[in-house]
Amino acid sequence: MFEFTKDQIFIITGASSGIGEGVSLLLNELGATVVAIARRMDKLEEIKASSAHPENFFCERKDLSVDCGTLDAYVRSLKAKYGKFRGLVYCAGIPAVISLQAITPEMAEETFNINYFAPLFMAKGFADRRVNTGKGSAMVFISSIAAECCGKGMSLYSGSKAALKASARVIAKEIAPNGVRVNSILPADIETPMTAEEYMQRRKPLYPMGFGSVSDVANFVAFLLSDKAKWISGQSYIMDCAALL
Amino acid sequence: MTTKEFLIELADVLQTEDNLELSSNLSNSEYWDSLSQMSVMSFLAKKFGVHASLEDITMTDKVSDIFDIVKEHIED
Repeated sequence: MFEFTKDQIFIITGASSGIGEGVSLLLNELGATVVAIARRMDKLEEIKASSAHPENFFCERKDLSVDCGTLDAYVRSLKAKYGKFRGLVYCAGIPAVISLQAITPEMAEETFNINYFAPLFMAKGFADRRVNTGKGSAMVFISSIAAECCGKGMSLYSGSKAALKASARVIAKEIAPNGVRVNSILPADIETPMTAEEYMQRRKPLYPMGFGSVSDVANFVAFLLSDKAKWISGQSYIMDCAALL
Repeated sequence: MTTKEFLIELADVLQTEDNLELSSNLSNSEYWDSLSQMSVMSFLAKKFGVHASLEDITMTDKVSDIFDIVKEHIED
């Protein structure tokens, strides 16, 4: 396994549930300092209380879907508060399953704000040389298998996650000279609060080895953030256990 | 914009925590790369309406070289 130190500080978004919660707890357990961001402060405080090192677990309440274009400044303000960051993990997201004819501009804006524009501007803030620790620092974006495999009603969600995956590759190329790595993960069906029970029952036959778990993704995120992955950047990884190939 | 404001904004564009002076060397600094050169070109166009050539920017040695491109727009 790999270890982190408490002076290695990571920003985790969407940290109040699912993959974001799992990543926050794992990085903290591995010794890192975590700045966990979500809309629900009460839930963040609960997670902090259950963490291995609560003294190295900090909670920030923020709705990332509002004023996305100012999130680079927000990341810089976090740097002023906590110090330079070793990594950013963007896990926040909203599912949107709706037919093309039912899509409204408001739905499109909401989906793209949280799934694409927010991570884009947070990446802009993190990529600032004054914000990250330079060589060894890394970003991981949680995209989705929907960026590759499309189902009916997924045009907004698939589009936003595919855009995130594509931009992550470009950002990786742009900031490689600064020693910052960027990768994205495209999980298939993971058992999280975002996935409805009825949906999971319907999808079960597709997964001979079962659904993925939060810890499956969190472990991979931790690896990509670690120095063990120091020669991996600009990649996007499908995690589906061969189910949807 | 004053010279002091110019230096502060340029430092922001270059994403450096250094206090820039007109005599500060750019060509040997870690933050002077192709991306920051494009950012400077964009900064000059947006703030001053000055469209510097890529050659002007890439040949820059010191902060004063950039300052010279826009000095007629500086107020002090």
